[in-house]
Amino acid sequence: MSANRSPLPRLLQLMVLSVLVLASCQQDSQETAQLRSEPPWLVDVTSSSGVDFIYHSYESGSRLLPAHIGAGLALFDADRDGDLDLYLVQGNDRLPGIGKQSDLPNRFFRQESPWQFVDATAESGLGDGGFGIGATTGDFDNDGWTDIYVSNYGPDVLYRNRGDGTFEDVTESAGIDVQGFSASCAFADIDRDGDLDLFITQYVEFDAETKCTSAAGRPEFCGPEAFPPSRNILLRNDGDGTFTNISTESGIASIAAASLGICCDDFNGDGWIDFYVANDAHENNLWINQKDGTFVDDAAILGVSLNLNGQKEAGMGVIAADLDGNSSTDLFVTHLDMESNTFYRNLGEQMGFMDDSGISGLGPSSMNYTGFGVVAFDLELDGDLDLFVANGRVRSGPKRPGTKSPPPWDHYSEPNLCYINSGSGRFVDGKEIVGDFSSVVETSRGLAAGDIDGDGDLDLVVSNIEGPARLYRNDAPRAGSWLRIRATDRNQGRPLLGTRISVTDGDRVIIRTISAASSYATATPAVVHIGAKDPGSKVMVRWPSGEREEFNTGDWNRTIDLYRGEGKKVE
Amino acid sequence: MSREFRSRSRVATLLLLIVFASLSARNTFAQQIDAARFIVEGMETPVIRVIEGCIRRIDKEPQSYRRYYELAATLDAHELLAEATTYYQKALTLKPDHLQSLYNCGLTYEFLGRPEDAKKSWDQIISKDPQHPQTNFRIGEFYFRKGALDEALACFQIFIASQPDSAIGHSRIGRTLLQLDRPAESLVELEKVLQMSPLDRPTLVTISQALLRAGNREKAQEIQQQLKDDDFLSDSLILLDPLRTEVAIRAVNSTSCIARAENHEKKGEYASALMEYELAAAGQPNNARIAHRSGKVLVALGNSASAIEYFDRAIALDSTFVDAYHNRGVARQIAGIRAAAVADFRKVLELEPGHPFATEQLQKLGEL
Amino acid sequence: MSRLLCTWTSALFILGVILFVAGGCQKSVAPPPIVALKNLPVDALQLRVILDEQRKTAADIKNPEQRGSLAMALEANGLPALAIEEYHAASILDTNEPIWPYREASTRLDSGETDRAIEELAAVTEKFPAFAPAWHRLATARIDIGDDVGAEDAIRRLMELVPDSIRARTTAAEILVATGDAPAALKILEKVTQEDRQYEWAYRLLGHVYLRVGQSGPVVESLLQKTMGAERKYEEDARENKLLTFQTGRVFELKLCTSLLEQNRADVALPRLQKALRGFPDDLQLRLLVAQAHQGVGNKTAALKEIHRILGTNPKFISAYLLKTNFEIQNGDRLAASVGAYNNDVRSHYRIAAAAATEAISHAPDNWRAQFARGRAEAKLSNDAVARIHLKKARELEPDSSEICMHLFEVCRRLNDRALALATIETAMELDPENLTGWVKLGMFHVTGENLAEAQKALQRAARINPAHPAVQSLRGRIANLQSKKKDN
Repeated sequence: MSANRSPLPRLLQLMVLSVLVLASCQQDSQETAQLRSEPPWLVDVTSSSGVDFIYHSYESGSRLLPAHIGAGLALFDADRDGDLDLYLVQGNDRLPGIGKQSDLPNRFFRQESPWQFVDATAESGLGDGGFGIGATTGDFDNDGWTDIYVSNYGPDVLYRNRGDGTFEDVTESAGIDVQGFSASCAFADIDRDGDLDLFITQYVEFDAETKCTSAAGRPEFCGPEAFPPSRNILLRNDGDGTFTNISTESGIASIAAASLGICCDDFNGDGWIDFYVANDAHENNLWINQKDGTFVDDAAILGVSLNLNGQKEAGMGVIAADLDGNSSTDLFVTHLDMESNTFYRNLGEQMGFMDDSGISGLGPSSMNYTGFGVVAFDLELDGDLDLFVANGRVRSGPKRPGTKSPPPWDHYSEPNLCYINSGSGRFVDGKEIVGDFSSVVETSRGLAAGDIDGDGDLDLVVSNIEGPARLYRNDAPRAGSWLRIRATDRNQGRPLLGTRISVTDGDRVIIRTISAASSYATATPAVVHIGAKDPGSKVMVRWPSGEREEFNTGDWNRTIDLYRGEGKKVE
Repeated sequence: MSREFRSRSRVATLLLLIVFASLSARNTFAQQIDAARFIVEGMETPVIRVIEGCIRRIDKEPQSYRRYYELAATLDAHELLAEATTYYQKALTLKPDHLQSLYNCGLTYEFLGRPEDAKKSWDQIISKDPQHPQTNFRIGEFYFRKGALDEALACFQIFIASQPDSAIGHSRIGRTLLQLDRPAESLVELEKVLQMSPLDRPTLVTISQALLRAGNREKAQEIQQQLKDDDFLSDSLILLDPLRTEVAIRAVNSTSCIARAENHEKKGEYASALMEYELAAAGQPNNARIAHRSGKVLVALGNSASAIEYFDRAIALDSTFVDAYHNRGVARQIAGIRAAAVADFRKVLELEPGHPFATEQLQKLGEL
Repeated sequence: MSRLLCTWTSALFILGVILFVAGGCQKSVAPPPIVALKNLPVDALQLRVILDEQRKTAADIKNPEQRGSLAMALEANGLPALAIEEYHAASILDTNEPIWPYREASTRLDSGETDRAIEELAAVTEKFPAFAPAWHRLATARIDIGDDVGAEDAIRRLMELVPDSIRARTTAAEILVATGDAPAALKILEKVTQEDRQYEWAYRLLGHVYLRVGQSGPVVESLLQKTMGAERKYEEDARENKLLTFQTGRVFELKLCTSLLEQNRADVALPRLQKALRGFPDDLQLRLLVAQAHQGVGNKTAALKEIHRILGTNPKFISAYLLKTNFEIQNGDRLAASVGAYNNDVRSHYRIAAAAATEAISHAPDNWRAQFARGRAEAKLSNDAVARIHLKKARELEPDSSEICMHLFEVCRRLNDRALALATIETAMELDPENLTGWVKLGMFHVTGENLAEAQKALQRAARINPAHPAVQSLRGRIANLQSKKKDN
């Protein structure tokens, strides 16, 4: 929403939106019909890709909570060869403390050529055997190579990228001792000292002896309320390859809240990175950076702690993106069934956010699904963000037609959701056009988007419990041009997470932030990918340090590298 | 054949037909109930018993809408939602305007992600009773979630007309008005909520947002400070919904029983809590936690002898259950079985070295 | 004549046939041997009852009634396996009598052999379909194992036999609750409990049903609390009453008599205890109860005599000192009430009480009961400063007793130690927030301290418990006086 917005346009907008809602039935059907005329836009190419990975939960009837939480992934360029590689975390048949390592570790797939991956787990050294939940990526040692942090139920692991195709486990030497039940994590430079700090969400104090049942009295996975919630962890990068736990002094550990999802951005526009944390059955947190190493939770004040009805929901995955195209970062959180996913529209001008799930069309349509991973990208390059949600229940339910999961997961599997942005911040169901992505019925968790084949549009990877990780190629017709922007420091060579990019598309401004952490327990490529119908020629960049620079885009339909200090300074 | 005989024969045939007809009618629905659809392996015994009981009663009274409603409500209470809708519909076949079936069937549709079907069900109630408060509330919610705010507002206003003291009703109106960008009116409604539930945190959150939008940043900040400082704020708004409660109380699965037991415990109703824990234990006989909780409420009831028996059971089921040893120690101490109490506190320390309470107790008993 | 003769001959022939058939049917059965009664895990009281029945049985070994009687003596005293054998013997000796196979199955059920017991009960009901107790027991056994269809069938048969039976109808309600028809169960139980106000199990079930239909709150809670120990009762054969008469043993007598004394039924407890004491003449616990029973029936001398006998045997038996303290305080209170004065005789009782408590403390200084007893006795003697020391010590040893706090409060109040008094009564009210008298006392305390706001708070709490209570009214009056006084000032 524009910075100089007056109440009148807001009112008008509301009126327009109300009209849209009233006309929604007709509109939905018209739009869907229009979309339906196109061929399937997301095509499952897993079988020929060489990625043969199944996340094993080792569920054998005991319904232990960790078995249904995991299955995150990381999509990143591990070897700097310009294409994306894939890291998939694995479950474990043993709870931590038993000692023996799993025979099935996490796996790393290196992309050799478009859509051709090879299993490079052994040579990379990335085969952690812990009870994997998720992963995040970032160059913590500023050597230009992307490192990876693996969150586990049990001890987490930090792998340093040696730059030669191999990684080393530096957890101990980095001073990291994170136990417990980690979920999503995020690298971000919280203190603007030029290195990446690390935020690790922690779920609950799981106790295997606590048994839960469904309402029908059958053994069922416990919800978070069955256990004491955990406190999140914030590790400060000391710049010498080690980290210091500053959870308490930063204020992050002041709240225990069963956290699962995280994303980071500058939510209050002060140039400092903030964190939004989606909590399961607890109020969400928006940790606003106080610029002195401390954070204050302003979620309630800014209207993103609860839903429209003032209820706590089961926050899982989360994304921060300008979904309504008003140049401010909105939030979207995925939830349990019988709740809806929630779209928090950023009202700008420090007016906070408003739950616009209903008006946007994103709410009621998700009531019947349990959402986890979520990504927003411009599927057909028309300048607005479309939404994709990976679904899968946490409570057994009737089998959905077409389920591909083995028992008992056939009772947990659900189709994924796709929403196409109509351009006004209203979304319509796109399941008919995206084909495989929404027709496969599995218990999905992780979801990442990236231009896997380098053809200028974003493709998808989904991880599933007791089902194959799936790769979807984007075959959508293109409505505009694309630009992939990497924002780096030439000296360090690493992507500068938290960099905010603005470009124009006709008379509107598209803003995007470089981040590797969002979705659910998943790392996404640290680049910005923009589609535009009427692309502009300038890029405005706000670096994590707060400096602003302007660059020329040059031609579109290519990748550009923006180096800090090499653009035209803007006050 | 005489006329009389023919006549008698016709009567007999008619009687036979009536008997057969009644027999077949008796089984029309009953035959369709395939218990295996919803009674599956691993289900807790009390749940199976209530479902089977409902089916047997339908078999005895196949023309009773009430019996179908009972089965539907029982299935609904145990979240067997799709099956529940089937039997709500059967009840409605026998009694098309049965309020409870229409209302709860609507809710079940909603939970199943079929909001339009839910609305259809509720619309049938409204067609007979346009002012029905809870149904208007539900339809209001339906519109609210869809973003059809004017319709939602109208429904909530009908609800509040008959339930003027409902905090949640005013809350919904306040929130809808805020969503409609009418913060001043919203504040009026939200203030009413606060008068009824002064410690309701979500309402304070919304008030602070409404104040911001109304341009009263100073007051908004005051409330924001209260939200940060006040530890006694909670979520307190509930919809008084007797039609739904009728379903909810049918749940006899252990999770529901434990939830009810905890609620009783909070109110100091320990004997009621014990009863619920006993029902929970019937569903999960090998759950050490339930036995332990029963023991704890028995201590609260002053019955340490029985409490010890429950703690014994908890420990037999989980020999590393620290809390059970600890609480058995307490119960034994109360019962005057000092040596056994000391043994329990020692076991606690063995399992959890440094356990503060066990240490304190042993010190008190002169054993440390 | 010949016709008459023929008739007589026919009659005699028929009679002969009947006698022959009857004689043939009634086989002469060898009586099974009596169970061996060696090394029984029973105490002297129980053994006496069992041996008594054994002696009678040995003299009349073919008598099924006597065999059944011995079985009952065994069952009542915790020897189910032997009881089963004797019940079995009785049922062999009289195949037309349902009670013995029924008791055999029941005893088996009680001792955990559920499946076999249910089979046996089913066999009894088949052979003796008019014997209601077997149907009843079969029904409840089936309810307990979750065989609802079988239970419903048994209950239907039972209700045909005893449609008005309170116990049977209660069981009918029980199956309805278990199978999810709580409203129907509620109807039955509300009626049943109106008809019989003594059957606790029906009340307990009623409490359960209230919860199942969504009614809870103080009334239901109270109902469930009061019926905590309730047990099912079954349709009975009159002979089953014998089981109760056979039940004895030291532990049983201690439990039963303690309960009787708590119910102020010392007259019933005393003869039982005296009989038990003959079996265990050195048992100090029993003797202590005998003393209590004497005190209960008003025989103070006998009571003190028993206490002195205990202390003669074991001078460190703390409970005896404590009992003596209680007796003497009670005796002093009664005397004071009767003479209407606090004279030397009254004081003498309190002094003896204090001395007994002092003796108890000398043996067990860390026993809070002893300290509490001394505190109470000293308070009676108006030695408030000494009382305060002991009550403080008692509270230190037992911080969770509101009773100690209330006594300590009174003493501190009298000593004008207002700070400790306030802290103590506040603790008491935290421990027992439903204590109306406590709130009133707290209110009065604040009235005397002219702390109107706090007095009103206490009044509110008291009024919440019982607004019409005279003490609450009195406090309200005192507060009103204080208010007007303050206004005038």
